[in-house]
Amino acid sequence: MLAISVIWDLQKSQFTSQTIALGSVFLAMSGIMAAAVWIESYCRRSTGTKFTPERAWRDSRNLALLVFSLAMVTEILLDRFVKVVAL
Amino acid sequence: MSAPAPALVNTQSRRLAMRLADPAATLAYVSLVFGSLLVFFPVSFPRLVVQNWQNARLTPIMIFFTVCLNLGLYLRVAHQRFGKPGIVASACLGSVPVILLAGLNFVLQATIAHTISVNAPNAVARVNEEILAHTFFALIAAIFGPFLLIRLAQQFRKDNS
Repeated sequence: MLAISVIWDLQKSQFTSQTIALGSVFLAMSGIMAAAVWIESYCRRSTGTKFTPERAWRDSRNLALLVFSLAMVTEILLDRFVKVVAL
Repeated sequence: MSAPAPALVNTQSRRLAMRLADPAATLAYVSLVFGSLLVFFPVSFPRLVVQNWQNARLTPIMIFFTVCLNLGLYLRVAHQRFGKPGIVASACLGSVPVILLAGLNFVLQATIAHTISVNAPNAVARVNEEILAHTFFALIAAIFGPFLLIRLAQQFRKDNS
């Protein structure tokens, strides 16, 4: 959800299309990866496949931190750009 | 002299399997450091980046930084999991950031040309912000790209075997 909202902000910004595309791709990829860890954990647990909670927790934590930090820096960059455009 | 125990042989020669969550934490920390520098040095850090780009030093610095970081990360994971680092993966970690950063440098040139051609007010400041944003995304690409390629190659090898 965080990645989608930041991609939305990025799409509405006045950055050039190349920068918007680059940022959107990385945010989308990290968001999909974070969601995939949760889906994989859920599927493994529900089907009784080999499941390691520690590994799932570590992966989930790392990817959530990645999405959060990417979103934060992108919002800082967007804020700076809006200020420059408004000058 | 007795032969080494089979368990030891298996442990020492086990091929290293990377997971995408391994570089994610490092990438997050790099991203947080970049964000902190932007917040705490809002004038001097962007100026430093733009000056280095104007002097054509930004891409070589980023290549050096990302290759060192990627190799360090790969060796750390290998050490933690008692895995054997592969030569193809090491070559990928050394070459992919160079190719990606060189390619993205051309994209940045196109971005700047586009920004200037629009004739928008405050074009110089806009170009500086574009350089800054592009530097950040290129850094993420150069760190994450090689590991993504290695992960895909592992999957391909697993499917074939």
